[in-house]
Formats: sequence, structure tokens, C-alpha cells
Amino acid sequence: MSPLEAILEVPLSRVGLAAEETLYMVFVSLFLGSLIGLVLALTLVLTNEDGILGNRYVYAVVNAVVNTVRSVPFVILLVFVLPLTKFIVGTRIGTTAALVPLILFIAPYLTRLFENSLLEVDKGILEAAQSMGATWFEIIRYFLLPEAKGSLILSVTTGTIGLLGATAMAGVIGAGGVGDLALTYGYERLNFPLMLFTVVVLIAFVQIIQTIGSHLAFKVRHH
Amino acid sequence: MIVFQDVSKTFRTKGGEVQALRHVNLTIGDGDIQGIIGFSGAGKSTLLRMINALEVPTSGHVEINGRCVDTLTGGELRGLRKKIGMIFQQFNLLSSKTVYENIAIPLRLQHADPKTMDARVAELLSFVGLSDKAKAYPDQLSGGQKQRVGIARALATNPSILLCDEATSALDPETTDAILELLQKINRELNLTIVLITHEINVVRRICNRVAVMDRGRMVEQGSVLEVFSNPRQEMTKQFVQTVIPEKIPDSIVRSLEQETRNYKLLKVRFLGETAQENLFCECNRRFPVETGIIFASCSELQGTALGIFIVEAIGSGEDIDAMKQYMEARGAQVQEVVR
Repeated sequence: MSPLEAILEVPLSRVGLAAEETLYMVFVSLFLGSLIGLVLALTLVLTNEDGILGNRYVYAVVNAVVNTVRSVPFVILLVFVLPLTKFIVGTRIGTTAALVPLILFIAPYLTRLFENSLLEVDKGILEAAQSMGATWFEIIRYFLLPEAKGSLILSVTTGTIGLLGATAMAGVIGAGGVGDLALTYGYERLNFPLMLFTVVVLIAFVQIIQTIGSHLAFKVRHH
Repeated sequence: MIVFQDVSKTFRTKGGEVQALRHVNLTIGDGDIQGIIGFSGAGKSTLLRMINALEVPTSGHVEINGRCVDTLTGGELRGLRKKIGMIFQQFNLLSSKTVYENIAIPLRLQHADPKTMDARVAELLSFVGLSDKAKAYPDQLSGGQKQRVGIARALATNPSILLCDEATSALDPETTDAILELLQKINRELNLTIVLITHEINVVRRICNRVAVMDRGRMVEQGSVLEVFSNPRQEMTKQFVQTVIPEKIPDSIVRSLEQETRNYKLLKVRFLGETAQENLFCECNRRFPVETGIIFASCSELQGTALGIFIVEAIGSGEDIDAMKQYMEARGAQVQEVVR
């Protein structure tokens, strides 16, 4: 037993597994949530009143869905969607099962962040795109996304950190992860050193994610 | 040829309806440089955007070469837009792309192959004088250079019409001159019809051959620059023209005229072209018992034609002055009595 294991009272392999579970949950749900978020955000931006495809019905529906899902606190969402989770994943518990509520949580959150990023793009650029005879798809591909890239990267960064926080709660359905480790071993067994250690690990995760995100966004914006 | 036929446009806003255009008629010939001037809110921007159907009329029609553009949709509309270039006051370049990429975008939209694209972009860069800036980003360029990139981008697909939306309003006077020269070169060498909207009469004077004046959604005056500038009819037009062709008597001279005890009339005499070079006043003094004193004079060049404006104090009997007036008019000058 290494000195660190002696202080933490859990095997380091257990800590390593928890970190792995957290990263798995964050990145899989981030990837799928970003895709859904981007599609919804583009829909909102293109169909809003001033948008190039202005359509108030589509806008109203997407807007309402995003608001509805966002108004459910994550810990409630976790248990509320259990039947859906069972249907999609085949089980209600475990790390993979947690992906369903995590995606449902992060997709609408990212939708709002992405929507803001896309709305920052100068209206004049969209007008120039239209004056060149671009289709709506070409406007997204050649004008909207490249111009919003830096801001979108920062939105993903903010979303990732929010997601990291949400994974801690996924322990409720036995998803594991660093947060779960802190709660079951640290809190319930009153193991303060372990709790402190997991907090340090989470701080390190957040720092790393934010540093990478800020750096990428800066590189995209300053040539 | 671009034809506006009784075009009106109403915008619905939260504060009620706004009539942006009211029964506008205008015909723009091929190869013209048509200026549309007016204060902000006059509707000129809406009018310009109807040519590439970014705005459509509430009533009336817009035709290009006999084809109605306001009913086009889908692929036909995009096809039309690819044949009409547009440049903007704020340039509207993609800040995330290099100069090369910005100019290449319209070509990408046409699915041009990379070789053709390279050659065309190089040609355009050299045409606008930015061959060394292909790899630069817009935020590394000056305002004038950005507009040159905008112009190159607008010309990429060989359009037959170029729309300029206050293209020089964000530029300093020297840069404005350089951009206007470039627009003139485009008109001359590529034979593009240029439609430009502006609130600066100087821009119209420098490069346009036709001008239309707009006021609160109405077209108040239109014609050749020479006609309109030498003889503005509407108050709005006079306001604009006066700033480049002064014809207001300075106050100090007005005060000194009050001392005059003899019978006199103030005549505003306009000479255009040939007549501006003849010595009409000398001839008048010889023929009529009238003393003429020039109290104000200005001379400008429009479209290569000289326009002279003189305000003359004519001292003598009423009949003699009238006779002299008629003689001047017979000689091709326009004479107007100035009422104080």
C-alpha cells in the first residue's frame, strides 16, 4: 500500500477508475449534447424573427422544448427519465445509463450558449452571404460557423465544466465517477482526506478544460 | 437596364406601419453610374436592396433586363444574386478568413475548381491593388484595403451590376477618393452598371452620371448629374447641391448691398459648358447701359463640363436690366432674379 493509499483509505486503482468514469461520462455526453445543441441553436437562430428562415412556429416549439427541459433540476431529471433510459440503454443504472440524463441536461444548456455565440455574428455578414446567392446550408457552413467558431469553443468549455458538476450527481443511479467517490467514501464514511483529494482532482479537471478552451478560442480569434 | 415601376414598401413594426418607399419610379441604364442620395431614413437603402431582392416591394415591380426580380424564389433568385455584386459600408468581410478566402467565397459557392479559383483570386487581387495581402486577415487591413477586398469579392463572379451601400461613408476623404477611382475604373474597364447610395453629394459629383434624390420615401428629383446639379428644382436637392456648388451670397455682401441707393437687381447667372468660357459680361456692358458688378462667383466641373455660377449686381433702369437678361438667355446662360 502506497503512502497516498494509506491516507485516502481506498486503493488508487479505485480513484483511477472513478476518474475514468467521469471522463467517459463528460466526453460522450459532451459530444452528443454538442451535436444536438448545435442543431437546435442553429434552428433557433435561423428561424427567429430576424433570421434568414424566419418561422415563428418552429422557433416557438424549439424554444419551449429547450426551456422546459432546462427548468428540471438535474437530480430530478436523473430519476424522472429512468424509463427512457431503460428503453434506450437497456438498464437503469450504471455509467452508460447516466449518459441519457446527462445528454438531456447538457443539450438544452449548450443550445442556449451556442445560440448566444451564433447571434454575436454580425448581421451584415449574413446579408453579404445572401447577396452572394448562398443557400441556407452554405450560409451556415461558410459564414455562420466559421465566424462564430471562437465563441462556440468558449461555449463548449463552459458547458463541459457544467457537465463535470452534473456527473457528480449521477452517483444517484450508480454511475460512479469522482463525485460519486467523494460522496460514498468521503461523505458517508467521513473520510475527509479522500474528500479533499477528489476536490483537488475536480479543480485540476476544471483548470485543464478552461485552459485548453481559452487557448483554442484565442488561437482562432487572433491570427 | 434596371426599372423600378411604381414601387412602394411598407414595414410593419411594433410602433405601427412605416412607409419606406412611396410610388418610386426609376430607370437605370446599362453602364450608368447611378447615384441615389438622401438623408438617413429616406428609403435609399431599401430601394438598393430591391435590385437583388433582399427586400421585395409591397406593391409595384422591379425589373432587370425585362425580368421581374421581386417574384423570383429559390434557385432562380440565387442565380440572379450571383450576377449582382454588392459592397457595404461596414465591408462585411469574414474576420475568421484570410483575404484570399474572403474573395474566394463566391467562387466556392459556384463550386469552382481550385485552379480556376487561384487564378481568379490572383487576378482580382491585382485588379484592386492588394496582390501582397492574400494571406492577411481583415483586422490587419486599413478601412480602404478592407473595401478593396469587398470590391474584389463582389466582382469575383463577373457580375453585370454592382450595388454600393454607402461604400465610402466609413472612410476618410483621401481613401474615399481612391475607392471612387477604383469604382470608376470598374465601370469603364469592366462595363458594370453601378448603383450607389450615399448621403454625401461629393460622391455623386465625383463619379456618377445619373442622380436620384430621395426624401422620406419619395423620389423627389432625378436626371443626369449635369442637369440636376446645374439646375436643382427641389428644396432637398438645392440643400445637397449647395454644399458642393456654393451659390449663397455671403452675409457681409448682403449687408453692403443695403447701402446701395441706385436701382439695381441681383441676377444669378449660370453658364454650362461652352458658354462658361465666353466673355458674356463684357459684351453686356458694351451693349446695355447697365453697370454689372460680380459679387459672387463659383466654377465647378461636372462630368467633364464646366459649370459657372455668378451673382451679379446689375445697376440701371428696370427695362435695361430686363433687356440684358433676355440677351444673356439668348446667349445660352440661365438667368434668375435673386429675391432678397
